[in-house]
Amino acid sequence: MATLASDNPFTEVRGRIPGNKAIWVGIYAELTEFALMFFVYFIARAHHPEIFHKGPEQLSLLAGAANTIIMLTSSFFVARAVLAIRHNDQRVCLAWLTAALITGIGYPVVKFFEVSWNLTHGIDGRGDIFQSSYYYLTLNHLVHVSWGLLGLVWIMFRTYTGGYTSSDYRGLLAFASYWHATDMIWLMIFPLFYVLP
Amino acid sequence: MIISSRTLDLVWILLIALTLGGVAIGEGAEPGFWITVIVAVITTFKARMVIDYFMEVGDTHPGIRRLVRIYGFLVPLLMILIYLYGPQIAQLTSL
Repeated sequence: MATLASDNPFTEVRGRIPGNKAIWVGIYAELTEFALMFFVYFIARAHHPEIFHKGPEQLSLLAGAANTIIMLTSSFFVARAVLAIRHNDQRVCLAWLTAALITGIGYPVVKFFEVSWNLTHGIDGRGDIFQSSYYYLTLNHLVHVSWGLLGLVWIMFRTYTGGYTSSDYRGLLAFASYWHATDMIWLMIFPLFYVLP
Repeated sequence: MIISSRTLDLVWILLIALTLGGVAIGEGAEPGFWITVIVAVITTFKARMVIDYFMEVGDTHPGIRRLVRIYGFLVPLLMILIYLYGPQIAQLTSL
């Protein structure tokens, strides 16, 4: 398996572990945290269907769609970076990671303008249950994206200094797994607040 | 399984197209069973593509592969369940 060193203890388990065990503990925690918040969203929706039916009309669909495209594109760039390091091409890998960072920074920028737009339209989180759950889930997701962006800077530094090769790029894979999981969670959040009537 | 660059490119284009298509379908739509199903199916499909092609969980440890793939179904399934059984679920979760 190209992703694992030959003396890696992970080869003892059935199937590979992308990156390392530690990142998967973090990803499991992230998935659990958001699963709980999704349950809260759905229970609130069951109790207040009319408020949630009208909810997406309050928000900027443009901002939600823009951040979806940003997350998908940044995730795609990271996947291309992984592919480049498999070919032992650190220069191309770094170029894809740079593209992922530049794209990813667009997420908090769009979020800033979205929240500003919200506040001018009276959506300040003190309104109905839809607004409360929207802020709770999306700001939590913003925190996870911010951690990811910091991690991406570190991964870029490691790539630049030759930390990854085609025979060992577990650190890059660990970051990629986290970034894709964070992307997947946004793919769940987006329809719940911006699309589903 | 190693995913090729061409496959990744196609998956990304499809994900963007599904996002824009979903937005066009959902914008201004009235609540209903079929619009809920369409949004749920698009969400499932997009999540599964990220899971299989970007995360590459196909040959990972079963504890990772199964959990992540099940997670991709969780929210879309709940969308439909809440639409169909919202009042009953509200009753079950009332204090």
